[in-house]
Amino acid sequence: MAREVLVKVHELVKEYNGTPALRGVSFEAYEGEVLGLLGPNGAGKTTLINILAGILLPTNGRAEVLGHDVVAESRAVRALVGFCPQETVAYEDLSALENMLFYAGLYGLPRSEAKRRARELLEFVGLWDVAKKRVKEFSGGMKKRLNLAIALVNDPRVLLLDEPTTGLDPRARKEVWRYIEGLKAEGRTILLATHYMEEADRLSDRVAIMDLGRVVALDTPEALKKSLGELSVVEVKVAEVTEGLKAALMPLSEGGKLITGEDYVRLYTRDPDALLPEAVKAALEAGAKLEAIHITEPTLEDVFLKLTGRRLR
Amino acid sequence: MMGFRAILAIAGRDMKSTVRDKMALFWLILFPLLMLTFSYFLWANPMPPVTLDVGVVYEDSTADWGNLTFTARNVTEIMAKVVVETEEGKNVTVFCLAEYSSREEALDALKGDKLDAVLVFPEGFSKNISYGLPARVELYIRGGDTYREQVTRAVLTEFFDKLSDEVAKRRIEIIAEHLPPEAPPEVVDFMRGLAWPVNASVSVVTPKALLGKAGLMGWFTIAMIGTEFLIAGMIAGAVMVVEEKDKKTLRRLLAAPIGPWDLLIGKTLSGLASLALSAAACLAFGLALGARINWDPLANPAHALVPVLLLLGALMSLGMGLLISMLAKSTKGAEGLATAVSWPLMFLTGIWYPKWLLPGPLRLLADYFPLTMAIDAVRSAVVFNAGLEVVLPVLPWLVLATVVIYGLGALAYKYVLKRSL
Repeated sequence: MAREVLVKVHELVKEYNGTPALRGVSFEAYEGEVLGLLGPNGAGKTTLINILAGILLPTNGRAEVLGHDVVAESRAVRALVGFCPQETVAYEDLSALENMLFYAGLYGLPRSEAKRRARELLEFVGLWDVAKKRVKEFSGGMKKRLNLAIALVNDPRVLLLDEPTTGLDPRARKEVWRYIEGLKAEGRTILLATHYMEEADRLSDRVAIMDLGRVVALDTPEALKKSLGELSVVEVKVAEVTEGLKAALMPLSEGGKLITGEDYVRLYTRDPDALLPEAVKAALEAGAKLEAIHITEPTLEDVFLKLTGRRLR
Repeated sequence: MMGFRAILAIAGRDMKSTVRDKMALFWLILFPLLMLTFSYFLWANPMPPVTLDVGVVYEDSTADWGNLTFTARNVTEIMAKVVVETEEGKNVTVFCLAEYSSREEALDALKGDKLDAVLVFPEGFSKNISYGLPARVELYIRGGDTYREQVTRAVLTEFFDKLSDEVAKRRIEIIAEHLPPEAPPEVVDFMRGLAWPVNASVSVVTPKALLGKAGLMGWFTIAMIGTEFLIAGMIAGAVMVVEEKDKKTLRRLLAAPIGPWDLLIGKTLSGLASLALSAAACLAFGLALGARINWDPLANPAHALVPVLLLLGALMSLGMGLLISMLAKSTKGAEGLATAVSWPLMFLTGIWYPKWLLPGPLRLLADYFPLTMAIDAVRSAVVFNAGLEVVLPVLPWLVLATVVIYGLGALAYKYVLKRSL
């Protein structure tokens, strides 16, 4: 049985004073799926989410959410979708409960229903015990969870999450992931804009890789990773990555493409067995303190690098 | 219904934030109360009666002749008894007299700022006044302070005018007693005509509403409400959009199913509620200090229009603030700009600083500044107890001004909203 399409985007273009932010984006999101929008800053993710949330008007193209045109039926779209921007949207001088009731008021919920819904959602995100505390006393993670609760106040079938874990430490981030997984389990359709490759990989059913206002690939994380084809990834762990090390390893990697972190370099090859001794030799000659070298699974970042020639961050 | 709930939610949220913000409460409530307290002690006092320090020099040796009917010393005895009754029923002595042995000594004291005037009775004064001849006195008045000089001159000349009148009256009475019985009565009238060729009668009439402290405090109480409208209203209008932008809540608000006008109406309602709170605090405090504020819509229908006038004034202020918001890109910038515009206007438009003390061109501005028109109409109604004849002529202009200013403000709001996304 074919799944219902809840979000339909066709050749969407957005320009700011002639500068393109979206250059003809098209995709569909199905009922109950988490569609990750993965890309670096400036890829157009937030612009896309803002258009789907009914905040921005597209310059060209068409988008529908739950069968409503985001331009012609903007108010209907805004009433039906849940929107969680990356900034804290709770008013710091109000309590969590007061914030929930305020946002419920914006959606026209009667007072009694608003109270019931606020309690339900604050319990869901684990904030009911501190519901009467002012938000300014909350930690970053608590504020993000409250953001999520606010996005759910109108019980939306489609949820737009714009960088919901930006600025959080890894522990708090994982906590928010659990709530998103809970929402996914409830069958909601979620568009998740993120620049965290692990986040997109873990939470998304499908990932749209965005770069410079375009969707450059759209598939399941596994399929995207498989698209690397015969390429294997060799990760060289060192004490410190230096420019000399990068220069020494670059000619060994397929197409001269590398991903480097503080203490690792990832190389691409069609023949990992041949590459391993050459990489060790080059690293040692570059004066690196080699800690480990192994063949690893490809990540979405590797896919992004292959597709765009640039790193995700 | 949904839009109405959203508007109420926006207004309610804003008000909650306002009452939890200590700075906002200071400017809305404490600041006007402080200003009213200062006004009460500094300015809301009717001018007290003047007491003049007068040095007296008797160069008149005839004062001691002993057989004269009226002497220089009789004059100063009368002067010492002259009193003025204050509003509280207290008698205040008008002349505080000090005798000096010589003219030079008295003039030195005058130059040394110890006296307001010196009164010299020259040789022959007592004899002349008793014998019905012209009796001359010499007055020296301290200069340097025009106001004080005018007051001293007026008080002393009024005293001697009155004294002269009394002497003339008495002289005519004595002459009339000695006229032959067949003398025509017109002779006495003729003598009166000689003594008082022009007879001006002077009566002092004080405006009822301004009589005393209560009236002045009433004036200041309404002035403070107007000032709050000007300052707090303009700031509220100026920060309407940028505050949400700075708090990063604007995008989220506009992602809810509300229109831009719902947001404007909600914010306007909260602005009006804040100004109403401030006005209520001013009124309560003013009344506690004894301000005269009349409110009886059944007896004076103009009073029923006072809330309308205040509403129009508040909307105008918010509209002016919205216009200012076009020039600011942050909350601090908007607040600063609104303050920079509203504070001078507070003095230049006759809302706080009395219009009649302004120089000509500014008085013209004050006469046509719509918020001043509204506040003046409110003052006329509740302090001076004026009727509809004062309020109705300005009402159409105020409605028009409100529509224009708030309307332009709404357009500015749309522009700022678009710019902020």
